[in-house]
Amino acid sequence: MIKELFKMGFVLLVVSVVAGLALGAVYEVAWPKIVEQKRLARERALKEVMPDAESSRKVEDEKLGSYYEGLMEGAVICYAKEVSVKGYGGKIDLMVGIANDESVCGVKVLSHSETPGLGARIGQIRFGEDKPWFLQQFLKKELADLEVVKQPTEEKIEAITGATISSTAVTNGVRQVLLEISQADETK
Amino acid sequence: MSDLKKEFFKGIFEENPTFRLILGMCPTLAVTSSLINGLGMGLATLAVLLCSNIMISSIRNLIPAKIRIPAYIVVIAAFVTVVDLVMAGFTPELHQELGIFIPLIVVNCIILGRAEAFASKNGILPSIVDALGMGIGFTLSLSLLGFIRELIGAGTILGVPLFGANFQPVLIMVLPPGGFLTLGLLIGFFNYLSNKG
Repeated sequence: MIKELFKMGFVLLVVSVVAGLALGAVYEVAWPKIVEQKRLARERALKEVMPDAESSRKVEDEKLGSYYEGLMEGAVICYAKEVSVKGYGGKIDLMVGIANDESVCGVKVLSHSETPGLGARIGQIRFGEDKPWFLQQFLKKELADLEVVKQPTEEKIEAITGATISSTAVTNGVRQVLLEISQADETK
Repeated sequence: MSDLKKEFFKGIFEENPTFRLILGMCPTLAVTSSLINGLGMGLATLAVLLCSNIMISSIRNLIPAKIRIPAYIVVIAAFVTVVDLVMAGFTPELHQELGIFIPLIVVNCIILGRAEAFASKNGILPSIVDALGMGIGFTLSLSLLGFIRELIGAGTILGVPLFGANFQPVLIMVLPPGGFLTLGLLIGFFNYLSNKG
């Protein structure tokens, strides 16, 4: 009986050790790749929300937390900051770009868990187009324009049909970043 | 040879894991809102199933019967973690889309089911064939569900719109109820086919 217990324990030990070692080896190979993919995704997002910037650098600020500065010919022309807002199905992570003149120069959805076919359309790219149509509305908008309306509009933000909560959440996120960046600008 | 052929094809129709054995319903209902998701989930499961069947078949005589389930779970969990890491590193978009369902392959009853019912009693070659048949059957089923739901629920296939701008998609099909509706109708259809034949 005791002998059998030890044998079973030993077999499980061997199985677990072998599995653990194999996983460690795969992890060693895959982890740098995963880090690289995350870095690439971030770089693509930065490029997307700060289209005019030639390069960008990360800035740590005591009040603002971390954000990015977009540079052209050595001068800061825009800022980008990540923001997390509460959507319909959970957290929506956004990257928002703000130009020097306090208008929005880009919005990108980094991750979300909105309803497929409804709220998930916040980041949808229509077939044949290369930019998400909902987020394109934010370009060149200033603080006063960041308001969700339900009719077709040029000046404000038109809500996605059936997804007013998601549309409002994104708009609030953009508004929040715009406020933070412009306030930080004033105190400088 | 004809035995192996039988083992292979049983997973695709006669003992199709989704429509005949009704196994692995959680990923089936959850991820099949589009064709690409169904296909990706099916292939990820196929990879894990193949690896775990080979491994379990080759160690089947070394594992005491009383602790076979924990030993199998460790083997399966290890392979799932490998698939998870590899997908995160090489196909980040698909990985993000499938999200939580990749780690959940561990508890997919198809994998443990085949380990227990087949790989633990058969040699390596039949186990490989069994895994391929079952895995391909699962992939085809998920792709079929994803195809139907994406076509009706979004009017697209692989993101390409098929019906023009005036098509009003039947949203419920890409939402959870659509998963149940499609699955139920397909199971009924397959039952009809097998009763007839």
